[in-house]
Formats: sequence, structure tokens, C-alpha cells
Amino acid sequence: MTANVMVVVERQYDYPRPEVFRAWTVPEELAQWRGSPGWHVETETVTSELKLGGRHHHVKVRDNDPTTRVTTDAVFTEYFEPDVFVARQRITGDPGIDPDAPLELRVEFTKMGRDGTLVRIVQGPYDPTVAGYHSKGWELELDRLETYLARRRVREVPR
Amino acid sequence: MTTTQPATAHITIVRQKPLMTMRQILLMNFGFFGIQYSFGMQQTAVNPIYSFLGASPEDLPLLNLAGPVTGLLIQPIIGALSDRTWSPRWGRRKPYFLIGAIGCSICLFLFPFVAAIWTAVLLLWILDASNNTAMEPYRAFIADKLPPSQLAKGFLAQSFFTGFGITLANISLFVFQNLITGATSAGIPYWVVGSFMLGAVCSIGTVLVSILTTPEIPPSEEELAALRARKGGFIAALREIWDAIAEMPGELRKLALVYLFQWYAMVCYWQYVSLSIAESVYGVGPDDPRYADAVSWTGLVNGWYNIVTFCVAFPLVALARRRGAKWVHIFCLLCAAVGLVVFANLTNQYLLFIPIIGLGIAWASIMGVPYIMAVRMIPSTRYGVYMGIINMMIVIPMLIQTLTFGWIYENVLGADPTNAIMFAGILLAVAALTMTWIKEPPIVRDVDDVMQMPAGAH
Repeated sequence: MTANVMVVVERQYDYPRPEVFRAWTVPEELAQWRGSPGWHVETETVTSELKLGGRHHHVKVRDNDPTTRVTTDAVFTEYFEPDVFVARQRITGDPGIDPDAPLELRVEFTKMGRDGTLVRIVQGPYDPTVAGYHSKGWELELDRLETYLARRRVREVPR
Repeated sequence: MTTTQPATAHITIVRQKPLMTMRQILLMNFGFFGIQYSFGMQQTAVNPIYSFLGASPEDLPLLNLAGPVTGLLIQPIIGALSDRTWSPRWGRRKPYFLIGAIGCSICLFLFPFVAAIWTAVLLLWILDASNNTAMEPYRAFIADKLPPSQLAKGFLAQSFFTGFGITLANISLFVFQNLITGATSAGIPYWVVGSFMLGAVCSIGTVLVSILTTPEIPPSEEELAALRARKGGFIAALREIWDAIAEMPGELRKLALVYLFQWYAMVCYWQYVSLSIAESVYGVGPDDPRYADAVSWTGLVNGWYNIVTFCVAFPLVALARRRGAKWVHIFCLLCAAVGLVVFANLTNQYLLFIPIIGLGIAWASIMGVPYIMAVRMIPSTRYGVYMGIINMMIVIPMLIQTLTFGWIYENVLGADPTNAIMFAGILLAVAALTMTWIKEPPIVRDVDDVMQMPAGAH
């Protein structure tokens, strides 16, 4: 099969763009929510040069099997805070993704109303047989982002 | 497409967009060929028609007022309207480029039969409005259909058909002159009529091919609801444009200055090239019967520079991506500057094809290279509004040219069309000089270039 499907996932958040953008890009923050349920990001593996041409690296590990590891290496080909970032990715360790065929991950942050943000993810190309699985993965991951943003907001509220 | 309703009020929308094959991309863009044929006729054949009808050379800029004004007004309005349109039967963008193409075809059909300057002016306004109605939603159509990673390919295909359409329009003028004789009662040669008829057929024919072979992506229920709930309309669009201008990066402002000189120059060239060739090569003015030969030869010269554009466009874009857009564009503008100064002083009709190569190279660069730089200055989430602003950076210089050049031509250039062409060359050199002021954003290399495959989801 040829990898020829782009996955597009959209979700609105009731948080301003800078907050949501930070959650996606700052290593300490993204390590707290990235990964589908049953997976987590190893905090110490995350490195990210937040600029055009900057490199990014992180490793995801299965919660119940630390030997199952998926590594992402990327370069930012576009980086405009808080509007959008685009990264060319090489993903290794995922049986559904060819490590020799780079993927593109594009995340757009559109202002919605006063303090809302629409996040649009475009990633691929995927083999059609695994595109649905990865779409579902993003869907669940975005739920985790919602939970993380709510948790962070509660922490930041002065008592 | 699937949707989920988690604990929060907002739903997640998931879509899968298949990548398009090159054949599908070409078919989708084929309609652009017909629209650009129409634009090519406007560039090369409309001014000679004014001259055939007895217009003075110094009046040509004002008679062309339709181009910049409709470009400035129609494109943003149609763009905003099509964003808010959806019909299960007709789609979102298709109604606009179908209506635009029908308008183009009717105007192209009627144009050669005009008998007075005022009817030609009126038809040019309708033709220009139709061209813009078709063109703006066509660009949005590409963005709707293609995922971001294929957009560059889609727009390159559009550039390909732009060059092809304009080239064919120009060459048809030369070919038909050698095949068709006679003239209408208003003095417009039948070979000009032939080129317009071909344009009328191409315009609607190619758009129909694209419409029938390329389905639009229907919006989901959620998108449709959002579309219907969308408020603000024209005022909101104006506000968005205003915000984008206020937040425009400094380097893009400098690019606006480059655009002022280069587009002013290009319009001078298009308006006066046939008069210049008539004077320098044939030694005649627009009242002389041999002016028709100059018009036909202009078609061939313009066709040739568009062929050059065609041949160098892809390598230039590749070079600009590798070496940087700034110096590539400066070099191309200087080629045209030297070319036009030499061109205006030649008396041999065959030698004209050598210096005009410079303009062909610059035209290829103008159509593509500054965009390579511009897209690295602006977030892609705001491409729509910034592309509209870049369009303004094109049409405003055209408007300024329209309002000022008649006076300059009369009082500074001695009402000499060859001076107008040299003036265009000098302005292109000034544009190149202004370009040196821009600080180009860094060139981003690919993941493969910067990584040596380290051991190493979403």
C-alpha cells in the first residue's frame, strides 16, 4: 500500500492561543500530555529548539511495557508562535510507519472568539490501512490536552 | 469523518484527505488555462483594439483602469462570499468560476465586434470583473482540495497553466494573422477576431473540464452549521485585512516597495510594447495600416518571452529554494532591466527576441520567487488574508500607473513609446536595488539534511 492519506483533526479549546501553543511546544509541558492513553512521553528525552530550522526529539513509551518505544525526530520547517508550527518528522519504532518515509506534522492555532483556540492538526502521509488508527490516536490525545489545560489552569489560579 | 463528544463542550472533528495524483492536480487546474488565455488577450490584444478604434497613446493607462480597480475590489469580495457559500448541487467555489468563465467567454466573443471606444471600455470592465470572479475562488479551490503538503504542487500547476494560457493567447495572434485576412467595419482585423473566439471557447471549455472531473469536498454537518452561524461578513473581512496590515512584518513592507516598481514597470511594458515596436521597427504610428503587423509581431514577442518564462520557472524556483530568493530575484530583475533598455533601441524585428529573454526570466521570477520569501515571513494560517494583501501590492501600483503614467508619458517621456519601454527597464533596475534592502528569512533544510538517522508517533 502507498502512504497517501493525510489525517486532519480539529478541536476547539476555551484557552487563549499562547497557552495552547505553549502546551504543544515547551518540552516540560508537552511531556505531560502527549501520547495516546496507555502511552507516555519520557520527560528526559524531550529536546526542542523552538525556532525555524530547530530540531525536536522525544520518545514515547508504552505504560505497561517500557521496552516498546517510539522515537520522533523532527525539524521545524515553519515556526510562528502562536499561529502555527510545521515539522518534518522521522518516526521509528512504530510498526505502522515507515521510518524511511518522513511525515509532516502541521499544527495550526486559530483564534476563536475572545479567548478560544481552534487547533487543527494535519499529519501524514499515512498508509490508508493505519490512517484510521492514527486519527483515533489524535482524537484521544486531544482529550488529554483538554484535561492537561484544565489542570494547569486550576494550578495557576491564586488561592 | 468521525466525531466524538468528550466531557467538554467541544467536539473533535476527524477527516482523512487523500493525496491527489499529478493527473488529478492537472485536471483540477486545467480551467485556469482558459481563464489565463482570457487574461493574455487582455494583456496583448485589448490595447491594440483601443488603438484601432482611434484612442491616443497617452489615454491608454486610463482606458485600462478596469484591471487594477476590479482586482482591488472584486477579488476580496468574491473570496469572502465563496467562503460563506455551500450548495449540495453546485458546491462552494464552482458556482463562482463557472459564472466567471461564462462572463469571460461572452466578453471575449463580443470584444472584437465593438465599434466605439466606450463599448470597448465597458466590455473590458465586465471581462476583468469576470476574470477576477473566476480567479479568486479558483485559488481557494486548490487550498480546499489539497492538504498543505501538496499546496506548492497545486500552485505550481496553476503557474504552469498561467504561462501556457498567456503564451497561447499571444501566439494565436501571430498565427491567425498569417491565416486570416480582412477586417470588421470598425477596422478590427479578422485575425484578432479569431484569437478572441478561440479564447471564448477555451475559457468556458477548460473550466467545464475541471468542474466535471473534480468534485468539491462537502462540508460536515458541524462545518455547515458554523458556516451558517458565521457573522460579520464584509465588515469582519475588512477588520481582518486591517489587522493583518497593522501586524505585517517589516520585510514584507519592504517587499511592497519592490512590488511598486516592478508592477508599475510591467504595466508600462504591456501598454506600450506594440506602439514601441511599431515605432522602432516599422517606423509607423497606430494610424498606419502597418500597425497591424506590429501588433501581430508583438504577439509573437510576448509569446516568446512567456515561453522563456515557462522554461525557467521551475529551475528558478528550485534555485531560489536552495540559494535564497533575494539574489535570484535581483538577478532576474536586472536581466529584464538591461533587456528592455536594449529592446527599445532595436530596429531589427528578429533581434527583439534576444533582449526580451531577460523579461521572460524576470516574469518567471516575479510570478514565483517573491512568494517563496513571503511565505517564510507570514504564518500559513493567515495565507488567505496576506495573499489578498500581496494582491493589493500588485493592483495598487497598477492603479498608480493608470493615474500617473499618462502625464509622465506626455510631459517627461516626450510621448515616445520607446522611451516608455526604457522607463520600464529603469524601474525594474530600481526594483532590483530596493530588493537588496530586504533581509531574507533563513532557508530551512529538510529533516534528511540535518539528521543522520539517529535511533529514533505523533
